Amino acid sequence: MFGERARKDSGQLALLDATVFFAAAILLSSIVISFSFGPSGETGAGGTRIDANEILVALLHASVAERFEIVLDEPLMVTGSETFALCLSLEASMVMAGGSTEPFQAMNDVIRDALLMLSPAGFLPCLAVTEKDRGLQDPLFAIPEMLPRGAEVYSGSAWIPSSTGEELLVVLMLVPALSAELASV
Amino acid sequence: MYGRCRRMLHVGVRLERSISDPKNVRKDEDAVGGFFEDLPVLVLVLCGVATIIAASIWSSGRIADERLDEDLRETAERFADRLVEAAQLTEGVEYPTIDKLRALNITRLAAGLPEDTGYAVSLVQVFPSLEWILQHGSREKPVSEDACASSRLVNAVDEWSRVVIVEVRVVVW
Repeated sequence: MFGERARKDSGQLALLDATVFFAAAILLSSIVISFSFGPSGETGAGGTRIDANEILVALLHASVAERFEIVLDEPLMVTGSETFALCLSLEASMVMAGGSTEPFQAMNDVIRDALLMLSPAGFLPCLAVTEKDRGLQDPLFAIPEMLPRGAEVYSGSAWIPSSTGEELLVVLMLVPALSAELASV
Repeated sequence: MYGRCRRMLHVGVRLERSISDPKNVRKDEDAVGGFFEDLPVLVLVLCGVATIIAASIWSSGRIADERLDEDLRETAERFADRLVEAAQLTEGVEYPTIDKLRALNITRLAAGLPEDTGYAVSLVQVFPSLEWILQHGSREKPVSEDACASSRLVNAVDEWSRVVIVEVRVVVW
């Protein structure tokens, strides 16, 4: 009687203990492995550093480097030595005065091409200009267009003066192409 | 309490006597099959221990690799900052000229890098057109797969007095 009781209880207890130990080992291993995956920081795919602010500042200070005409009441000739900040300021002033962005189409195309050249591979750029008291939901204008909401965004911003002396907020948003496609679905 | 302990001791002594007496030992199949029961237990324990050891070794290797990458990344960032600082150090001038960027003494600037660090530097005009300005690299240490890159955008004035955008790219290994 004594031997039979020992066979049933002891065997089961050892196996149960081993199973619990194994489960604990798996859990501990998972914790150790997950601990080694630290945060990756502000980097895109392949570890590329994304600094939208740096791109925006470099762009605003750069010359347009293209000759084109802005057809207003009086045609305005852009020689190419003007900075992007000056051109954006002029366009924003016209929009604030009730005009449209249509006459600035050639300039916006130059800005769009410059943004595409400067953006990291696999990212869609969007540059929005808005007034101080106006939110980014309703900007004065955006080049090429406002990105879908909900997408993961790396952004940078800078203040530029308008031709009327008001402060304008320029925001550059860089969105991973895949994230933008998913958000637009 | 004392009486209970005495009774238990008495039972234990009787049990020992009965086992040690050959007349009381039976031959049957009711004994505990320890060997076959302990095998799964042993396997589970060994698997558990092996899992923990493997996870620890893998994680420590990964953390060491990440630390090395982080050190290299910081070195690359500092080197890129030093290059930009050297390019922009001209009193009374807002932007450096392309000629000044071409004349940068990269070897002197790289003297502050940690010992046994290989590097390559390239300065490329990225706007309005793509043009090589400068390319320079160390030849002391062969290129390794463990390399980190860092880049900065700076404005510079070209020969037509336009403000262009130049990318300073640094790779260290």
